[in-house]
Amino acid sequence: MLATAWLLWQARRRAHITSQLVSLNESLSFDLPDFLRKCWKPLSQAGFKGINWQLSWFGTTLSNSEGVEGNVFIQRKLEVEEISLVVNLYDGPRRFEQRYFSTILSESFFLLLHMDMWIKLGTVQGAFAQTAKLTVFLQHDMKNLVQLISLVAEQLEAPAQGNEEKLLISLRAVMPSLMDRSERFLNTLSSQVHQGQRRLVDLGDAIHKTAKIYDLSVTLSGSAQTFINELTLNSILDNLIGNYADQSRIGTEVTPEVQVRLEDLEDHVEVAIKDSNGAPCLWPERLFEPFWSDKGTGLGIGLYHARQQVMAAGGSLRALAPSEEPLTFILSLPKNL
Amino acid sequence: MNDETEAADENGSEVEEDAEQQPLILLVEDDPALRLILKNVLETKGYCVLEAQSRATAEPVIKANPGIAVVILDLGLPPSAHTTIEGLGIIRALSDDLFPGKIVVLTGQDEESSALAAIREGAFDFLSKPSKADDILKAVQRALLFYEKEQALASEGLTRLQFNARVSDGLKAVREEAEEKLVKQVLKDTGFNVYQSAARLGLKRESIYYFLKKFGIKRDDS
Repeated sequence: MLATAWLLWQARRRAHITSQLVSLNESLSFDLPDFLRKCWKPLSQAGFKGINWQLSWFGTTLSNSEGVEGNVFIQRKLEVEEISLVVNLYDGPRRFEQRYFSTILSESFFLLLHMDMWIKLGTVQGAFAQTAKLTVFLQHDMKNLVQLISLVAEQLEAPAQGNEEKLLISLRAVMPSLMDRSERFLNTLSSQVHQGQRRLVDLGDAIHKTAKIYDLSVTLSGSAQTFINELTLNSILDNLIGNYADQSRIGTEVTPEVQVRLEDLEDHVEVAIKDSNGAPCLWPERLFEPFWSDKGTGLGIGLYHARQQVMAAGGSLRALAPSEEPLTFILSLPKNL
Repeated sequence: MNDETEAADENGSEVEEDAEQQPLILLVEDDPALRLILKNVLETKGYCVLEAQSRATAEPVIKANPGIAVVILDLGLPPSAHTTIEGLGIIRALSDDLFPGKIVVLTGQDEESSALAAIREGAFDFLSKPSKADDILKAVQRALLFYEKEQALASEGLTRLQFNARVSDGLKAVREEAEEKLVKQVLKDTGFNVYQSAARLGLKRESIYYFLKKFGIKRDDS
């Protein structure tokens, strides 16, 4: 009876220490070097005599040792791409159930270390992939802007004889678009919440403006106005309609026919956007998942970003994706009257 | 429907006769502002400019205007504006259709890889954004010179064939590629007239039918 109670107490103690290690790792944001530096305290409470480790961390070697070394130790070599780790965990001579408890705890500890390595690798690779994608996006838009500005500057510097009036007409047409592009380009670079005054915005006008940038044909019904920061609204529509344009064209040669229905309700406005030529969405559950794109050609943050901004503005954004009908986005914004 | 789409739709039909004397240039660019300014630059030099903003709008313009001498092509076009998929697709389709005009690529895509891919698919020249108006015009002039000389050679019965040959595939593969291109070209020139094509190639009609079957050439392909 006494032996059973003692065994249970031992088991509970080890479980508590394992839980402490998990919590510690989580509190350190799964940072492997930090976790290795701070793991000794709970391990020593579990009866381990000492630890030493050597970590090759993206080309830099880190090492440390705590406690005392001995003849009985568990060695583990872990390797994930550019990260490798050798850990020696020193233990006293243990037998029977003591060895069992010790093994369970050390294996849990090694599992945490291995997990941290994979988390770090995933984060690094993901960040690199997104940076590369973002660079491609910005490069494309930036080069178009620079090309436009350079051609305009050349034309202004030496306008062809008799072409001045035509040039002026072109500039009048180009400049608002140039300004829009520049603003939206800066917007892509900035993930900050837009500061500044809210003002009364006609949603129909804003949608037309965005649709024009994306060469989308839009049929609008109804009307609605709301008090909102215009930059925020532009960014939401930019992400929403831009993504919608791509989504509408996947696997089809059909020109998108975007239908927008505006509804002025009691305390909020509702915008329903649907491409009547669009195909049904095959992955509605992943629409708002960050860094996920169906073809690998998009950044995959457009809809996620749009939803974040809508929520920050006190509204909601959802998608209706019937299995045999085109996708419909429902954007709801408070009137803020 | 917005202004840009209207512009492309108008271009879908054949251009007016009074513009036929001017070299026809198709500008495929998805940025409407840039397209407008580029159009201006080209028109100032007397070129007749057709416009399209995507592969889908470019194809009907090309079909409706067989006299297009030069295509200025942005590789990054919707719906995949940040890759070269659409632009390279246009070049490939034009090469397959034995399009006689010259393709000048003007793109903001990564120069090293996209230039190689564009030239492999059959582009005549490659300019990366930003390029000076003068450089764009010079590229167009070069392309026009080649186009016009090739047209002159064609009127003398000389056909210039273009295809990529992988040396390791051996002579047989190259010969078959050349045969296919030549038969397709002659059929295209004769309006798919088998009798005339056979006469031009110095073959029996049966041989033309044999090639039609062998290469799977159909009337629409020519």
